[in-house]
Amino acid sequence: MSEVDCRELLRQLWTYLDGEVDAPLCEELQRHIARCLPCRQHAEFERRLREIIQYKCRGERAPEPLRRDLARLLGITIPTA
Amino acid sequence: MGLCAVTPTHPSPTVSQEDRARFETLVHEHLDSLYGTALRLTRNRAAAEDLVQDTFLKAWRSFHTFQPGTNARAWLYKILMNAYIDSYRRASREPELVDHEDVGDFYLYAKAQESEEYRRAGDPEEALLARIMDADVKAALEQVPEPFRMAVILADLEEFSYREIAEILGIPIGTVMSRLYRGRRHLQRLLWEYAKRAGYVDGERAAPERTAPEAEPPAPRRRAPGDR
Repeated sequence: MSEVDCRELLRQLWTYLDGEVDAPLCEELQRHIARCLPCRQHAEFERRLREIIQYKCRGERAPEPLRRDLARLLGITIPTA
Repeated sequence: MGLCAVTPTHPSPTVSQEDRARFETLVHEHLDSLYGTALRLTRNRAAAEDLVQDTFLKAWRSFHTFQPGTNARAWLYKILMNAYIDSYRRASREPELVDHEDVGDFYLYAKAQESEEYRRAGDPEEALLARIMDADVKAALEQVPEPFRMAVILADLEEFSYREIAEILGIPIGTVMSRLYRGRRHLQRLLWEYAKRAGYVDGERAAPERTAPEAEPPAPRRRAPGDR
């Protein structure tokens, strides 16, 4: 079986973290990460960076006027924020 | 003979209570996340409210074409993105799209490792992540030019798959990937600048800014690598 090297791992890292590489390649990348400390640290950095971006940018609540207008226009009830 | 009694096989044009109840559930489930996306896209609260209202009115008008059991979230996002592209983006004045010179995929990681300041911190990656935690990440994201910002929002905030994003934006998967990766490169570059700004106020290390939403700390759900 061909070995994934650091260069190949970096080429695939975003796709891998996105859960978008196919199963055989995914396993190879996981094996490489398990035995290569620099690549493990790098992958962990990118993963945590994304978590921070999500944490900082998500969690908006639709404001009350929008809730009221939508409820009226659609004839439905929408709980307050 | 001759006359054939036609039994209605389609729902009558009047809306059933059941439809309205189903749509109400969709609104409850997706209103906040659609508003958040609209805000990151339009960068303006009033425009975001208009966009979300427009989205749900359009969705309600075509709700009879929606197949129960299919991906309601992707369906709503497609309507939102189309509405945004059709009207709001045209009206707003996006800065001229200037792509930075290619900085490589992992700008922040490289910066952490080469920066003397972060190296002195002992654990440069941790120190940089802590600084980004204090930075105005929303403002940085909103600076990412279109159409790359759309791809980053859909993938990194809303966790749609490449295939779903391709469907939502009506573009090939290869284009999704190139927009997403370029968007991430932009964002990393901007985050580096914002992190530098977050670190110092009048030359002093700033107290951590806590304007993040009162959401759970960063341990959100992740797609398992390789999981489709």
